[in-house]
Amino acid sequence: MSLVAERAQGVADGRRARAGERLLACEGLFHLYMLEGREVVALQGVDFGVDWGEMVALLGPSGSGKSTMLAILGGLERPSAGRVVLDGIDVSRLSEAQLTVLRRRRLGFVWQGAARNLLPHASAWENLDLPMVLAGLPAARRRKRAKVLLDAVDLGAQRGKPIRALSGGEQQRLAVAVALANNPPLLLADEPTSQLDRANVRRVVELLKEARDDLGTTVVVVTHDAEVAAAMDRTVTIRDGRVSAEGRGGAEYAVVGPTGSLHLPAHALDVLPPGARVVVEVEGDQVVLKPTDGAIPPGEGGS
Amino acid sequence: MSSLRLALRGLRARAGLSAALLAVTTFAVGVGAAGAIYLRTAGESLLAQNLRSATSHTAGLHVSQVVADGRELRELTQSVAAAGPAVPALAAPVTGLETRTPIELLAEGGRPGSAYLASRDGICDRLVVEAGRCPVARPLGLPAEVAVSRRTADWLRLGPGDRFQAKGFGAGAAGRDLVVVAVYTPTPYDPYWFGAQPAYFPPPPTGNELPPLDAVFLAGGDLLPVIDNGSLDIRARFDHFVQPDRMRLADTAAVPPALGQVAELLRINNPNAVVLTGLGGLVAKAEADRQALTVPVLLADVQLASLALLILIVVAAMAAEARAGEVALAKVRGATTGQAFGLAVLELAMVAALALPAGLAVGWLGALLLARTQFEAGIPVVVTPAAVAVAVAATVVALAAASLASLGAVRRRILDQWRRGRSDRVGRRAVVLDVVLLLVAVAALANLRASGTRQASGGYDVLATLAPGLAVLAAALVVGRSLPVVAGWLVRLTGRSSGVATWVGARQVARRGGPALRVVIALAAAFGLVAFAVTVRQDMAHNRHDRAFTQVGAAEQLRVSVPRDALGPERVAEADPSGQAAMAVLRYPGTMRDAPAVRAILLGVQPDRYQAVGFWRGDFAGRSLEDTMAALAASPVAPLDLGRADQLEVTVAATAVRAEGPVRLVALVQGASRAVRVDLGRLEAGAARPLRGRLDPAGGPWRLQRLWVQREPGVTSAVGVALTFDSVRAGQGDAWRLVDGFDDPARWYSLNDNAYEPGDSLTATTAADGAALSVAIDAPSSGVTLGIGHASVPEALPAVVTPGFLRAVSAEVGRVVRVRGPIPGDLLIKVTGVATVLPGAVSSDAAAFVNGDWLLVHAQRNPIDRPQSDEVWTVGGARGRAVTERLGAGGVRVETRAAAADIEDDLARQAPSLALLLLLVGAAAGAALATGGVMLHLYLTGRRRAFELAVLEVFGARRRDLWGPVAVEQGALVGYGVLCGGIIGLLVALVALPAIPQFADRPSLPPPIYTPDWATLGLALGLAVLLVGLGLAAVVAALVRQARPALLREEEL
Repeated sequence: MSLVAERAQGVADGRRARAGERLLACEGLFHLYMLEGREVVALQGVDFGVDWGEMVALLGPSGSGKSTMLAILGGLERPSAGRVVLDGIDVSRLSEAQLTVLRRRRLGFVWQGAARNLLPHASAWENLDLPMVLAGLPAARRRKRAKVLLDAVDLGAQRGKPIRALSGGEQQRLAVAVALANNPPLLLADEPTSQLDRANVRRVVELLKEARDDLGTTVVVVTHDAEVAAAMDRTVTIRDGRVSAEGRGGAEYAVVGPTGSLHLPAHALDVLPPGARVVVEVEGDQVVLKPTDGAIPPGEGGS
Repeated sequence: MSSLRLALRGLRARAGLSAALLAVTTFAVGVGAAGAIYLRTAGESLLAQNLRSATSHTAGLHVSQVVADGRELRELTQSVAAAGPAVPALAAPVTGLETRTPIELLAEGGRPGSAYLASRDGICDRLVVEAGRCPVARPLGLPAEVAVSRRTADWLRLGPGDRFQAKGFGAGAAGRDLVVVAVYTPTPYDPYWFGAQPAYFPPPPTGNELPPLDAVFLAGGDLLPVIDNGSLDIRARFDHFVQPDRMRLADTAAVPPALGQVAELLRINNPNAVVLTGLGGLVAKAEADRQALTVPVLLADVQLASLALLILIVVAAMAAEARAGEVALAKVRGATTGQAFGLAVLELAMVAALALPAGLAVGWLGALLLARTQFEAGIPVVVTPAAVAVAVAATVVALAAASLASLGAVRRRILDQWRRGRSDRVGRRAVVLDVVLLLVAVAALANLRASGTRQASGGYDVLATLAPGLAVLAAALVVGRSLPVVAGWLVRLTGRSSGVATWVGARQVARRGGPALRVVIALAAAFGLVAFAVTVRQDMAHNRHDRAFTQVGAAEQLRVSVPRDALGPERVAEADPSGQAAMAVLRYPGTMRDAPAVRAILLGVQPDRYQAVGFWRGDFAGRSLEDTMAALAASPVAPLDLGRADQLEVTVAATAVRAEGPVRLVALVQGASRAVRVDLGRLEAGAARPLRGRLDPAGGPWRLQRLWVQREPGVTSAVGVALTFDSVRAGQGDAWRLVDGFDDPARWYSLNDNAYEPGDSLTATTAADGAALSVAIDAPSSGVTLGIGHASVPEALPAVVTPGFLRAVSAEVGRVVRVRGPIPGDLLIKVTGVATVLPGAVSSDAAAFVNGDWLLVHAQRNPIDRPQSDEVWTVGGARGRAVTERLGAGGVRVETRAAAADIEDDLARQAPSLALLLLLVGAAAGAALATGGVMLHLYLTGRRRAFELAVLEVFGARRRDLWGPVAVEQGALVGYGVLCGGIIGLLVALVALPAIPQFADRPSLPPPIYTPDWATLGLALGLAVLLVGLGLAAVVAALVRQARPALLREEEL
């Protein structure tokens, strides 16, 4: 079922027309924070961009900085350095009031677990209504849009039910619907499928695709789920606070960092394990890494 | 979706916290309302108490006028009737007629005397008629029926049916006889007489002066004709009794102008009328008492309100934390901080809207319960407009406080909320503020102690009363802040502990942040105030008890009328043979010869009974009660014991007898239960001869105390005689034994007390049988007592006196002081000790305890004297009631009864006690609320950690190793708060008590003792620890009972 209501069609068309243009750009993102007296570097110079209508998955091991980055993209965290530009707006320079408006109109969020997505003591319909109330939509329009969204996520019959009466999958589908209530151009999702079974994972992924297809919504998803990653247009791997690799169409590419650093993919690490010394040779348009036996020859700094 | 509906859903979803919030807000509102209601009710009670405790003539309105004729009487009556309704609380008047002055009474065979003639409405219902019937009006041609008292009848030698005359009483020009139809018993303590008691029932005569006699009562119809015949001045009186139940606080403002209106009306219509009333003064005093109560009650309210706000902030912060996730979600969806705050305030406003009427109801109920236990019966407890206003204000303040408490959670960053990485560390600025506040409070307390007891004259010492409560609250804040430090110590202490529970629990306490500190603060403040209030109240209760008993003298003080043939102690001995339940007391007012301006009170007590019956405290004198009483009973001379003799013989020779009539020798002997006078016969000049008198062996054993030389009736001349006393013998049947040989003059003393010169001389001499006592008397014609007394009743009574007594005459212990009183001549007392306070005699700065039995002997200056011990002290309760009944059976009538318990109750209704009661009850309720709130907090925090503990349990950890630390942690927090609070409250009370007179009811006799009631405190603290411990156990049990699968359901909504 379509997520599109009448008025949203034009908006969706407008977004689709801008496919290929940059919607979201991160330039040189650095982020530090203090944890029990120690300084932690979460992001070390991240350059990252998302085009209109793209579906991007952020991958990486725990602690790599994915969630931090998502929070910065959503204006929930301010970077220590660097810029985040959303449709020409420098998000990192906005005031709290401006960020609130931004979240209201231009961003949708789906978090892991229902507690962060839904009001526990409100019904499905009331949860869907809240963001539209905050956006100041008139009641009639809210009702119509809510119906469309609830039907689209197969919760039309449960509109009056309290949240606790819904299953985990239903709650997460509802969370997607709530995130789309104000038809934001960018949807940010942090592990939206981590607590779901396979069937529900697929359904949520379908919904995200419908949002892109029907509403022109750009989607950025943080995930550990390979199936979810595979369903995205592009994957970006964050490791040690940097973009280490990108993937598209099943192929993965290592990304050279701003200082020339390179994260080798896992299969390459079998040949060149961490700590191994290599000789880097440029042969034409190729860069070749040749492992050594570990000894440094005389005259090159050895003794 | 409306905000209102969302707020309602939120309240319902967090039902426990919502209920706690409602309860605390209701408490805050209730405290405010209760104070206002309580004040109003206390004011009404004080007014009623003042009106009821005042004498009838003080609280009522008296109008009187000497009326020349019947017309004037009618005009006066009409004026009084017209003026009466001006003060609705005054009843219709009791009217009466009386002679303006005592009238000379003439009875054949009787002695000259005078008395008022009086009539009064309803007299037949109030007169206690011993014999005969109440007089009624009779036709003018017949004698007027009258009722006379026993004393008047004896003096005039009248009996029922006897006639006599009153000078000037007649019908027209002719006199009219009076005929006795009733003999009544005076009831001077009956308020019915409306202040006429001194005129109607004057004190007994002394010496030979012409005495005023008790009033002669007759029917009003027999006095009316006397008005018109003009031979007697007749005064009409109209006595309006006050009806306390018909006067309320709202009426008091109108009383002074209404009384003025009455006086003005009468002045215009009846310029000779006398208008007397003390009602205006009583009303003003009641108002002053109410105002005196206002400030301490308000201050108690302020402290309770502060406690309520503190608890409210804790609970509101908990509710805000519970709501914080939703706030973060709303902000993610685009709500501004203001919108999120508005939603939070809406929930709080709904709670406040419910709390307002609930708080009013709770406040009213609390005031009602307090009023039932403390105030006069029948006082209405109403919700006043002031109470409503205070409740509304309290609601607004509570809402503001709760909203401010919620601000932190609302302003928190979204990610901080989700990471739960909010800083629980207390800001340094908050710690500094708390320490500064505590230092200020401590300085205020120190200033109080250093400046000594403050006198709140003319104003109220706000600092004195507020400082302790503030100190408790400030100390509670610091206690809370000190928790991490104490926890660090606990960590070091348990560093080597092998017990998982204590090891882990200590570390959990150490890492506690803001919410835990708030828990400790709330508990410390609440239980600190409770401990403070309990300590002070118990102290005040003990001191009230001591004060009441000191004022009365014992548990109960009875004023009695003793039959004519009794002195008093013998009746008491019959009613209480054991000596453990009652004691006769003789109250002897007088002045000191060397300080005539100083009024003194001598209390004649019975040393052998005082220890069981009278009140005493260890700090009254520098020695034990036993030693004190022993000094009063110490006589250097053994009594002259006659045993159960049936005859008394005194061998005496009289020479140089000089008198214009016969003189007789009369002995005063004291039996087991009564004293009797034994006439031994005439003293005739000649050789020594035995003079004998009879005794009743059943009344023995007998002791000889006095030998009077008594003039026979009609003989008033000077008396001179030289007596040689040879021996005293006691006869039993035909057997005689020598009791005393008069061989030591030191064992006798003259009874003339230097009343004339030259004084009597007592010297040793020799008679036919050996040593003898020579007594030379040369007395003038007067009522001087003649004779000798045995030194077993000391000439100078040993006495324990107050410091004021010594100061008045610049005396010291061991000195003899002369006191003048009803007994002609001086009473000698010898100071044997000093007591700071003498129970029963607190009305006089100069007071003394003497031996009552000996005082009675001295009071019997001559054989016709009939002094009586008109006071009986009892131990109260069932034993006291039994004694009272037996006294009644023995002919002793109880006129009035004063119970120390009643005075204690009255003192408990004074301002400080009432305010402290409010503080105690409120603090206890606050402590209960704080405990409930804390338990809720512990449950919620426990639930958050239950998930991690359940996971560990799945991994194989034992349950007790998981829940043990929780129990230790929670128990440490709660125990630290409760115990620290209790200690703080106790310390503050000990510091504050001696310095603040508001915590001691005035006046301060005896001096208050500031000793904590450890038993009550221990009980209160133990109860608190038990209840809190039970609550804690219930919380831990509830957490433990949750099924493992349920706990593992992460992020359950």
